[in-house]
Order: sequence, then C-alpha cells, then structure tokens
Amino acid sequence: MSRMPLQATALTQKLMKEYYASCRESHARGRKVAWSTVMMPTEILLAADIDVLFPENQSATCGAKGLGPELSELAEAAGLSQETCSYVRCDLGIRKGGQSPWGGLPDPDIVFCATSSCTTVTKWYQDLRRFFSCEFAMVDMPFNFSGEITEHAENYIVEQLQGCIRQIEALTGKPYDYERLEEVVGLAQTAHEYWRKCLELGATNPSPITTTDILVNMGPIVCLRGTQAAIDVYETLYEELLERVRIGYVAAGQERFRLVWDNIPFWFALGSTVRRLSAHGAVLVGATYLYHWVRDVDPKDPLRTMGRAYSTAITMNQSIAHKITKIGNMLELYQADGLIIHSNRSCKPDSLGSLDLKRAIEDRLNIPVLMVDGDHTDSRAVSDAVVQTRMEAFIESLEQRKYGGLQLA
Amino acid sequence: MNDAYKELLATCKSVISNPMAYVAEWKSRNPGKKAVGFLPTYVPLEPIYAAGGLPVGLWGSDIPVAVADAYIQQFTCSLVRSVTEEAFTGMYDGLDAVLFPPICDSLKLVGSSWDLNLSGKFLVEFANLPERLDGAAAGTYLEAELRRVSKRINGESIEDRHFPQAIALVNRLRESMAGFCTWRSAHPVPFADVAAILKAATVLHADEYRTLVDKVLSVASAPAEPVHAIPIVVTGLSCQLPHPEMMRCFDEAGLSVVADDLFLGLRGTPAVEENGNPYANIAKSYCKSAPMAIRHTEHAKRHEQILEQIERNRAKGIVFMVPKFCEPEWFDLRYLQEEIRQRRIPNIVLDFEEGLGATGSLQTRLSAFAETLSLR
Ligand code: SF4
Ligand code: SF4
Repeated sequence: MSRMPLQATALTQKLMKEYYASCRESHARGRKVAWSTVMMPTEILLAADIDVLFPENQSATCGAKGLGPELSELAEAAGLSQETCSYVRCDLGIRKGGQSPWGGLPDPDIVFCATSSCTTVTKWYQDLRRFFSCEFAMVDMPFNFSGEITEHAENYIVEQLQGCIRQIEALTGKPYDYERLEEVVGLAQTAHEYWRKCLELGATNPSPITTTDILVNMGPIVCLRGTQAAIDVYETLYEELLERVRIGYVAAGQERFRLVWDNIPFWFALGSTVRRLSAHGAVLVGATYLYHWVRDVDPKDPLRTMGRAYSTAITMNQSIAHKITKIGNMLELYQADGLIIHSNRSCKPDSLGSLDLKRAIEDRLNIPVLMVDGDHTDSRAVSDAVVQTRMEAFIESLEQRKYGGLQLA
Repeated sequence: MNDAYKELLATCKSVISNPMAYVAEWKSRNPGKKAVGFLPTYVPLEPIYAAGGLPVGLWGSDIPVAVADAYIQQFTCSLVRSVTEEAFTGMYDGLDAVLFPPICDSLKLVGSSWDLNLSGKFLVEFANLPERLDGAAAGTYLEAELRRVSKRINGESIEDRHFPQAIALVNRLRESMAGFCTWRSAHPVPFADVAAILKAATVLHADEYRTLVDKVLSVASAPAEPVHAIPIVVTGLSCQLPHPEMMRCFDEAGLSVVADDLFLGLRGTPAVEENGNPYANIAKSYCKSAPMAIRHTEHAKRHEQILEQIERNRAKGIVFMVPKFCEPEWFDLRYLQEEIRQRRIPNIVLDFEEGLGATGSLQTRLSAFAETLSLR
C-alpha cells in the first residue's frame, strides 16, 4: 500500500510555526510572555491572553537537531554540572549564546513551574528568574506516593493556582476572567478527548500510525490545548486514523514485533532507532511519553480538576506500583511483544524505579523488557554501539520467542 | 579535653558505628515502643516521640553496594545507594517503620521502591513535606500531612495532648546541638569528632543525647590550646552525614571547620511552640527553615547564610562538598560560586561520595587548598 501522508501533520506544522511567529511579534508589541514547564496547567495563562512558551520543547528540538552536546558544553563552561538534566543544559547553553533552532524564545515576563515533573524544574526556574529578573510562580505538587492524590494535597495545589492567578492579575493589571478560564478549560478537555481517542486508535493491531508520526503531532496538545486550533488538528488526525483503520492501512508496512517505548526518546537518534528496529521488522507502536497528555479536566470546576489532573501523569510523580499497573495495561492494549525502557540519566524521576518496572512486567505479564542506558538530549552520554548491540540481541530473543527462531527454517 | 567530653565522644562513636545495635538495645528497654527510621535530611521528629518512639536517622555507610544495584541505577547519590543496600540486605529489619521525606527525585522513587519491596518488613511511609516554604498554603498543607503521617505510624491512639512533651524534647535536642556547636568554636575539636557527635544526635534518644551534651557544656573547661589550623566553612552536606573518619581529612590538612551544614534539617528549624495546635506549630517552624538546596524559601537566601558564617567566624575560605549525582546541590553550586567569587573568597569544589575509599583524593585536594590559603 502506498504511503498516505497525514493532513494533521501539515496542520500541526503550520500551527506551531504561526504560533511561535505570533509570540515573537506580539511580544514586540508588549503582550506578556510566560515560560512554563510542560506539566503546568497553562490553561490559566491562555485564559489571560498570555503567550506561553516551553523551554523543554525548545531543548527537545535542540536534541533532535543534534545540538545537545555543544549546548551542554556551553552550560558546563558556565558552571552547570554535567550531572543535571540535559534539557536545562540546552536552555542555559542557548542563554549563554549558543544556537537555538528556533532562534531563541522571546524573554519571559514571568516563569511558571510545576513540581509534578521533577524537583529539577524548581532549580531551573529559579535560575531563569535570576537571569531575566522576572516574576516567578510555582505550583508545588506533592509526590503521589500511594498513587492517589490526598485531599490536602489537592487543596494545597488549588490554593497555589489561586496564588498564580493573583500573580497574573498583577502582571496584566486586569481582573482575572474566570468565565474565559472555563471556556479555555472546556476547549482543553475536548482536545484531551481527541488526543486520547487518537492514541487508542493508534494502538490498533496492526498500527495505522507510527509513533514518530504521533510524536511530531504533539506540539498542539502540549502548547495549545485550550484553543480551537488544537482541537482542529486532533479532530483531523482522528478522522484520518479512522479511515486508515477502516481500509486496513498498516503504517509500518510489516509488524513482526510490536514494541512500546518507555521514557523520553533519544531525540537525537529517533530516526535511526526506528530504522534499526524496522530492519528486523520491529515497530515502535506506542510510547508512554505520549500518555502524559492524556488527562481529564472539567470546566465546571477548573482549578480543582486541573490540580488533580496535572499533579500526576502515567509515569510521573506517583508510586512505582501505579506506574507498573498503568504501563502493564498499556502493553495489553497495544498487544505489545516487548517493552524498551530508556534508563535516562538526565531524567531521574522518569527513570528511577525502572528496575522494578522491568521485573514486574517480565514476571507478571510475561512480556520481555530491554533496558538501555541513555540520555534524551546529550548524545555524549549514550554509546551508540552498545545500544545497537543490545537492541539486536533483544530482537533476536523476541524472534526465538514468537517465531521459534531460525531453527524452524 | 574534659572527661564529660570524652564520654560524649565515646558514646557517640560507639552508637554510630552500629546504630541498629543501639536500636535493639533501646527497644529491649522500651517494650512495645516503635523505632522509626527516617531518611535525610530530616522529617519532623515530634510525632514519633509523642508516641514514645525512637526516631533513627538512616545515613548509610561505606559498605560496598551490590544488592541495591538491582533496584536503583548507579546515577544516584552514594547515600541513596548505600541506605538501599543496607535496607535490602536486612540491616534495618529491627525498625518498625521508615519515613521518607520526598525532597528530591531520587528519594521519591527510592522510597517508592522500598514500599514496593520491603513493606512486609516494616511500614514504609512518606512524610510528604512541601517543597516550598513561602506562603500560607504550604503551612496549612503540612499541618494536615503531619496529622496523616502521625496516624499512619502511631494509629489513632496519639492525641494532641501527647505532643507538648515531645515538642519540648525535640526543642531541647536542637538546643543541645546548637549549644555543642557554639562550644566547639571556643574549643576547637577535630571535625571528625564534630561529625560523629552531630551524627549521633540522629540516633540516640533525645533525652540521652541531651544529658551527655549538657554535662560537657556545664563543666568549665580550661581555655582551649591555641590552634593554628585555618578556619573554613563547609557547605553541601545538609543531606549527608559522612563517615566521621572521612572528615578527618580536614583536620589532617590543617583546616578547622568553623561552620557546616551537617544535619541542618533539624538544626536549621527554629524551636516549636509547645502550646496550642501541635501540628500547626511544627508546620510553622518547618516553614521558617534555614535555606537548603532542597527547599524553596523566600525568607532566607543560602548565599547570605554562608557569607554570614564566613564573616562571623572570620573564615578564610569555603569548601563546597557536593554529593555526586545530587542535582539540587549541583544547581545551587553554580549560583553560590558566582556569589562567592564576586567577593573573592577562596573556594574549592569537591565531589562527595560516601566511602573511606575516597579519603585519599579528598585529603590531597584539601591539603592543596590549605596551602593556597596559608600563602594568602
Ligand atoms: S529531569 Fe526529567 S522531568 Fe525534569 S526537566 Fe528534565 S527531562 Fe523534564
Ligand atoms: S544528597 Fe541530594 S540526591 Fe542524595 S538524597 Fe539528598 S537531596 Fe537527594
């Protein structure tokens, strides 16, 4: 079957390009800009007509363009240890004069961080505050050690979101428009629903879409949920996937093995990872990372439902036991033959606990797991040869398991 | 040094050389009472004492790490790996519960792994302290969290009326530590001994500790012999209590540590009000905590605290002991160094890893630093 291009991808690219251009222009005209972490309920900012930009996304793009090492070196020369997250090092590298694939981000008037990502973001955003002499807002989201958020943690988050809104009012000089917030949260929820439905269709066996194609369409759900434009993208994607499933389109051509990826990808080697696997008929059909944006918020009670929704994600800010359950369910949904866990030394919150996860998935679900050491943006910390050898050995073992290996031939 | 000091030091050294033996002995003296381990840097100790229990600081040791490698990757600090090794090899089986303060990404996930794997041996709980200390919301949250934790480790039996005594006890413990630290600036003692005495405060029952320290403070001792060591400040160890013998490197290098941040978690919180709502009072004190890498404070700045220590003690330099793989400390280091360099204060950065094996290189670097200081 010939390759079917995705209309949604073109829409995403256009939308994101226009968004960054408009942020730059409107900032020049005095509109306020916020920098935020990706686990922050940025709906509260969109509702106040503040443009939101995400240094994490910029760093991921740096990674994809292979700029990780040179930007990290600039950051390290500026005194930031190599032991810190490489997203932060890319950002500092750019602030220290390094090249940004986006030509840099407009300076922030305020920075927002939510600790459900990690404790690193607090340190990172404190540094941004010092650097730009701008406002600093944070939402401390306590660790969900039992998997469930406690009532007092939920109240704590709501109170902090109210504090953030007071900071926004001070910044814009206008009373906060709560009706607009409800509207934005309603739109965000519609985007969430489409995103979830796209992922569910993506889980069809065989897959109508590659994981790479979903990854390139993440921009709107990360940055622009809460806008009609984001909904349009995912509605289009959903329709396209429905059609693909209807006609039995298989995105990867052949699927001898269906694999799921856990943790942030090697951004600098996404293409080569996929190619290497596909050389053996192994296809990445899913990634836990995509599920960080599967959430439920309710416009009738925006702050509380956002507080709850953003205080956790499939693999973040919660107990290993829950992570195991959620990933286990996901593997069953995808009818996965194996799980690849990226043990990412740059992202401790997403990586620690992986040894328990590996054991549990192998023992309880009898699904083979490969754990590879790496880093999401700093390719200096990844041994390409080791990764290649380990992936090949893993696929060989899957071959034995699923098809009885070559001895049958 | 006087006899009281010798007794204090000997007791402290013996307790920290085998904390679990002390725990077993304490439990035999206090049948039915719980020993509750806690991870660095500190969790509020009052709920443990309120139930007549014993809080026990878990700081690991320099045992080789093998079993823990199956549970936690090597890109974590030596403390986390070493306590995990001890826990998974059964060394903490004598504890009834362990409390984790999820102050960094490593402790959150490691605590969760202990919960998954060890909860059949002892209760694993989180004292889910707020990361930010500014604003009223953090205090209100912490108050409710402390109530939850107290109930989890003590059951329903502990009521507010059990608290005033426990609060007083922990306040005295803080005072003893502060008193000892003031005493030590007038009676220079090796840093190795200081480290041992501060570490023991996290294991010995607060009553026993206080009795020993009070004796030292009450005996008028002969003026200290003049010391020729160079005064310096050490920072970066608020979350580690290293093997005291490692700290002998400072003494051997001719450096006198006049201020440090060992066990700052407890030392850095002000006395808790004894009357009124105990949980609210403990939360209030916690939110006034001294600045540390793992806390977001608005009321105090870490570099100001360090500069004040340098000035007050006329220190000649500063040693940044930064635990390897500790992201919070490595982030702070960059800004602290900028502040310190602007003021042209000599400083040195040492990668810290627990284990006597690292003593050699530590020694060399500290001696070189001492030499540059002596030339100034
Ligand atoms: S440590 Fe992980 S969660 Fe935190 S900023 Fe880095 S990549 Fe994101
Ligand atoms: S030393 Fe750092 S990494 Fe280790 S437990 Fe403490 S805060 Fe966490």
